[in-house]
Amino acid sequence: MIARRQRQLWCAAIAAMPMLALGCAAAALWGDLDSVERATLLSLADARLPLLILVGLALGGVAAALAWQLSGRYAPAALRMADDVELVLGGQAGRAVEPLGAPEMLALAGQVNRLIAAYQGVLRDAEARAEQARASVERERNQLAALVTEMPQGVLACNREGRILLYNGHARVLFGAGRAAGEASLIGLGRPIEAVFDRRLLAHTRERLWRKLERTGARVLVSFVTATAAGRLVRARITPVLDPDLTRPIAERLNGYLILAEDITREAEQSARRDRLVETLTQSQRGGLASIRAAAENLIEFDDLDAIQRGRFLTVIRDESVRLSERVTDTAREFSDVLRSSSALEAMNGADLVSAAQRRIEARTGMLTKLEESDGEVWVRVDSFALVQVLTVLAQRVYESVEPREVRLAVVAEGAMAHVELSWGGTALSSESAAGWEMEPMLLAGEASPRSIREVLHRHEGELVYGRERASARSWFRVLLPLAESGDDAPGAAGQDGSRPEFYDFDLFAWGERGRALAERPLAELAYTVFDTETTGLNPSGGDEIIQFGAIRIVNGRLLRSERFEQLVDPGREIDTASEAIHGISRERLRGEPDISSVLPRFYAFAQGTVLVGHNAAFDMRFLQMKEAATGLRFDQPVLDTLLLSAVLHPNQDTHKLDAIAERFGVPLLDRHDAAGDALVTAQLFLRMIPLLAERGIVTLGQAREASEKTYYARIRY
Amino acid sequence: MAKRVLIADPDDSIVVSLEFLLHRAGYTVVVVDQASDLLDRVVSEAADVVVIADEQRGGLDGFELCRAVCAAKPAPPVLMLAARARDADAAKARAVGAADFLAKPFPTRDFLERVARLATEAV
Repeated sequence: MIARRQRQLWCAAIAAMPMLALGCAAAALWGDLDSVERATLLSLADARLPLLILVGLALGGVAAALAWQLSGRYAPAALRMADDVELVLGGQAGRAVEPLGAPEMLALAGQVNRLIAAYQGVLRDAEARAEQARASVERERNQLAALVTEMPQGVLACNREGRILLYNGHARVLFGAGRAAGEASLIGLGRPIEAVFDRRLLAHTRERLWRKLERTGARVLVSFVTATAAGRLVRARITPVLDPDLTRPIAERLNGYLILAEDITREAEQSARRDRLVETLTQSQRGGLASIRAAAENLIEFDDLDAIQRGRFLTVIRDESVRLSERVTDTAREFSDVLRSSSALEAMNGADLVSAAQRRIEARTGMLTKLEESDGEVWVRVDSFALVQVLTVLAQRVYESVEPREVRLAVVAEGAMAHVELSWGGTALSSESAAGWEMEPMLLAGEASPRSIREVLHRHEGELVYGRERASARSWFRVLLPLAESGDDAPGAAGQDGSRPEFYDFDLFAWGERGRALAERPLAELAYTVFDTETTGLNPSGGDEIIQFGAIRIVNGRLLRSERFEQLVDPGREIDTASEAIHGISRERLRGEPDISSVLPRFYAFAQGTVLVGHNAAFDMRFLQMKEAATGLRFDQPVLDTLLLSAVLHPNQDTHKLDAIAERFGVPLLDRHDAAGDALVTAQLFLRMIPLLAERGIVTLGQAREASEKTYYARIRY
Repeated sequence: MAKRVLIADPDDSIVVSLEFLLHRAGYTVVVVDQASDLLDRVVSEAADVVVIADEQRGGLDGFELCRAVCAAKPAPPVLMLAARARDADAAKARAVGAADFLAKPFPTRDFLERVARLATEAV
């Protein structure tokens, strides 16, 4: 409309031009004439003035029409083109300029469209390249995550501030608070490592690490043993993650720490069992031996004993020796169990063992080898490296002594034992040399092991036998090993659900430098615990209690669905009927659930080191604060309220109830009025609010809190 | 004619009892003090049953002795007495040719039964 009006003004101006030109010409002529000529002109013009005006007007009209026509062919086309170009620049992909107006304008539109097409091509190209790079980084990260997930140890990495940025399923299980379903693990992305290990222990370990690092300047490793919350004994090895730039001072090169943890509970238990066995053998046998010795000495020294007296001593000797026999047998069996279940030995299929040995023997000696038909269901518990070494050393010795054409390998089960056989045809060995090899340190070209075959086999509760079958002229070594249960170990906690859990966030490496206050940190890079509670009623100071916790974590702008806290709580009182109608949790359902004094410390641990987010959080916080005195737990971390943030974003809306905001933001509502469901909705809303807040200049935590406080709802007090 | 049993066990305390028991049961008992003599004695004494302990004096190995005895022609049955009683030891004894294996400590009746069985089988 404005454009049309402008055109009209311009046309009017152009229409006035001929009149103006005529006026100017008349004025110039008038100035040039003397008085006689002026009088003549006046007399001439006087009669023809209307004609002159008419001609002027006609000329003006023609000029205006011409101008209107011309501007109609150029101006709208130019303006439309400007709009179209703006849309293209605004990211409306595929949009082209519509050719309109004069031929010149059509030609211009054609060229502009070519330019647009070229521009969009470049844009698409850049996007594709960026997408490719993103996908490749994502793929590498996923590969790394998969690798870490499959590792048999618990793996934890944290940045230099001690925030966890990676962990695997084993670590999660190892440091789980307990085994109950829905129980929160102490581990979580962005959470402080202090939630997992004792603060003083960590400080001490860090100091050891630094001292070692400063002294050696190279890769260092420090290990410690500690107990987890669930009572497991864990050996952890910690190593610094250093920037490869060697020119920087060591303190500046520290990016974080990598921690490998393994459960040594069984190992420790076994060692305790072994100690107990030794003690049994040395201590408890003394009594029996004393009785036997006393009785025997009496029998020898006193030849005047009557038959009854002699019989009594003899009975003592027999009974005690029977008892000692039994005890020795039991102890030996138990010791054998301890050795067999030793964690250093892994269950392995016998066929796999011999085929590993075959490859090694071929690589070492270049001898021909053959695998004989083996029983596929033979399982043994072995230190596979050491056993393969035993077989290789034997083969090497045989090769050096009698140079057989080939050696054969086989494994069979016989009774309670597996026989792993290395055999060859032709020249036999002397049994002396065979026996000697068993005792000597194992020596292989280039690698010496201080252990002898005997020592290795002793650790396996095994034996070595050399033999020869005259009929077939074949000689053999048999390694006898106790048979084991099939080694199909459970796949472990890592692969429990199909989807790979969000166990890592490397962006945390780049997390805030030391000393930057929390309030100055951008909202988008903080760790949050978004939570909700259901309660017996609406009046915390009137004795109402929490009956359900639901919480979920956000780290670096990602919702971590695998890091949840869900727990029902027995309130120890009745539930308000109005409240029950909302959440549908009855008194009966809560019987047998833990009470608040045991749930709150766990929720506290879960929320530690994060910013709390809730919808109408003031209400929930009031309940938590009511428990401060009783539990000694102060939830003093910063709190953000989505209700207040909604009011900051949309001050003209009447309502900021969860349902209403969810509808506004297009977040689906599932499990409303279930603490976990509400926490999830709140978390999704909060994530959508962060960029909108940023558009309004609210970027940091401090700014968000300040803006919240200014809103009307901040004045509500529960 | 009484069956002849050779005993090669360096532990004199147990040999005292075993010799006594076998005598009482009607066997002729030969105790071999030097394990290195065992092979010769097995032949010269024409033993029907040989009892060998796993631990021998002078760094000799009872299992190797057993293998040597079993390789003789004709080879008498060997009963191995072992201070170590793991499954692997029993398996090793069988692998070197022992006809039977008894872990120390054992009931005397058990010992006599096994010797009797081997003596009968050896005929």
